[in-house]
Amino acid sequence: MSITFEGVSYSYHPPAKKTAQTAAAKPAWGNAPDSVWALKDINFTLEEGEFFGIAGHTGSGKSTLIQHMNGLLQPHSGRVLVDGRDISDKKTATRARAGVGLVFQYPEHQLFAATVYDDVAFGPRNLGLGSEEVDACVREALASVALDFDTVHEKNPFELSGGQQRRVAFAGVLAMKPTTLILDEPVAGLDPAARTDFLNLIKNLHASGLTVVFVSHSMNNLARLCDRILVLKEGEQFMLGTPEEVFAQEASLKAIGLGVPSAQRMANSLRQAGVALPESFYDTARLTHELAALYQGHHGSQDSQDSRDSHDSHDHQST
Amino acid sequence: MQEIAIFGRYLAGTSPVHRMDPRAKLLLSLFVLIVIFCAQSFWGLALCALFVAGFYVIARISLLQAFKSVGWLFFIVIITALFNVFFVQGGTVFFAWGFIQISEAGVYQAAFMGCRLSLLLLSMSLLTLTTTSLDITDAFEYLFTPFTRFGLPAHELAMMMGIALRFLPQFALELQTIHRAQLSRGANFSSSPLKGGVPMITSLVVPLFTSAFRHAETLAAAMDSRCYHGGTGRSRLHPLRYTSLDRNALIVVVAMLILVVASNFIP
Repeated sequence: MSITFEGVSYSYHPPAKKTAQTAAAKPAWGNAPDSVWALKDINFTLEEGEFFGIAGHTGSGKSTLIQHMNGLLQPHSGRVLVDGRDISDKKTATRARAGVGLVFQYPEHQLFAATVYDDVAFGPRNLGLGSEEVDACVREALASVALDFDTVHEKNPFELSGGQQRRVAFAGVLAMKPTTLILDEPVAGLDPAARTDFLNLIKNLHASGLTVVFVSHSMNNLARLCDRILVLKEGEQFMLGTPEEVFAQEASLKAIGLGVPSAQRMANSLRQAGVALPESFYDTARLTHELAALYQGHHGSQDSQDSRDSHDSHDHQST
Repeated sequence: MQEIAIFGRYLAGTSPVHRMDPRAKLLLSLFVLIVIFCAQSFWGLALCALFVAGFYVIARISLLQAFKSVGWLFFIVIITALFNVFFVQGGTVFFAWGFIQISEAGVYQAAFMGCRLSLLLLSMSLLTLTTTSLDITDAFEYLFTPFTRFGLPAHELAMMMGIALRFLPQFALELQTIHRAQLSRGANFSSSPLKGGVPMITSLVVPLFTSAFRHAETLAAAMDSRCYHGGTGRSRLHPLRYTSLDRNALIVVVAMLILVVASNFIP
C-alpha cells in the first residue's frame, strides 16, 4: 500500500490555542516544548516495496511523523492518504492499522502477556481471527524473527534476554501480517552483534516483499539499507532523496547536527586532500575497491616505493 | 489522552513569590486557607479575592493561566454549588417543581461556597505554580523534622514524595506510548474498557508496572552508587534561608487575616 503525505502539519499545542509564544525565537535544533509545530508542511509518497529512511535530530518530528502513517495522530492541516483514501476517515484508519505495522522505540517495553505465544497472538486475536489462524500467524511470525517456536512459545517473555524480547515484540507486530512495517529506532540499545542480526532480519523482511520505513539517526544504517531518505529539521522537510543525493551535502547535514556515513565521510576528506574519487556516494565496500584499484594502478605505472601521502599527490597529478 | 493536565504545574519565574523560601510559602498558603475559611460574608470573600488576585499579580501569573492550572478541579466547585442550590432551603422560593425546590438561601449558599472553593483552589495552586516539587518536598522535610524524635522518618517520606512527583509525568507519557503501541496492534479501547475483557486492560497495566519496577531498580542503583544512605548526616547544597521577602509576606497575610476578621463585623 502507498502512503501519501499532502502538506501535513501537526502541533502538540493546536493552533486554536495559539498564544504570544509563537513569536519566540527557535533554538538551533530540537523543538522547545512550547514551539508550535511538531511537523510543518510534509509532502512525500511512500511507494510500495520501498525501503524508506527517516533521519533527523532528537525532537525533529520523526516519531510524530510515523504516528500519522496509521492514524494514531491526525494532521491539523493537510491530508494523509493511504492507497488514495484519506486516513481521517475512521474505516480507512482501521484498515491502515491492520496493514501498517508500527514498531515503537524499545518495543520490548510493551510486552505484557504471561507467555510469548499469548503476546504474539494479541494482534491476530484483535483482528478477530479463529484460533487455528491465530496459531498459524504466531508460528509464522516467530519463524520470521528467527525464534524457535517449540523452545520459546511457552516461556514468560520477561525471562528472555533483551534481544530476544525485542524479537518477540517484532513478532507481535508481524503476526498481524502487515504490508508496511514502520520501525522507530529498531536497533537502539542493542549490542553490536545483536544489531547486525537485527539489520539482517529487517533486510530479509524487506526482501520478502514488505515496505519498510526505518527511523534512525544512525546514518550508517540508513545509507546501507535505504532506497530513499527523508531528513527532518525542526519538523520541516529538510531533504528528500536517494542516499547519494542526501549524503552529497555533508555540510548542511552537519549544520543540523547529523553526520554522514563514515565511509562517505572518509571519501569526502580524501577528495578534499586531492584523491581522485569519481563517484559522489561511497559505502565501505565501494570505497575499499576504489582505493585498492587506485593504489594498484599507481603501482603498475611506477616502481618507486613512495609513502602513502605521495601516492595521493601523484594520483592527483595523474588526473 | 492527548495531554494530561496536572494541577498547578510549575511555571518558572523570578518574581518575589517565586523567590520566597518554600517553607514560608507552604506555611503561609496554609494560613491563607484558614483566612479564607474565616470569611463569613461576601465582604470577606471579596477582600480575600482582592488579596489572592494581588498575589497572582506579584507572581506575574495571568488569571487565565491560573484558571487553566486549576482546570477540571472546577468540576468540584460546580458540583458543590449544585448540591447547595438544591439542598439548602429557606427564604423566598424562586422555583418549585415536584420535590425540586430552589430558594433564596440555597442560591446564596451556592454562590458563597462556589466563591470560597474557587479561592481555596486558586490560592493552593499558586503554591505549586511558583514552587518546584523539589522545593515543596524540601519544605515538607524541614517542617516534619521536629517529629523525627517520635520516630517519623521525615527525610524518607519527603524523598518518597519527591520521587513520586518526579515520575508522575514520566508515567503519564509512558502510558500514552503503551496505549498507542497496543492500538497499533489492533487493540480496541474506544468502546467500554471492560468490554474488551481482561487482555485489553492488562495490555496497558502490565507494561506500565514493569516500567515502574524498571525505573525503581535503575533509580535505586543510581542512588546507591552515589552513596545515598538516607537523611542522617546529609548536608545541603542550597540550604533554605528565610529572607525579608518572607517577613513581608507574613505581614501581608496577617493584615489579610485582620481585615477579613474585621469584615465579619460589617453589618
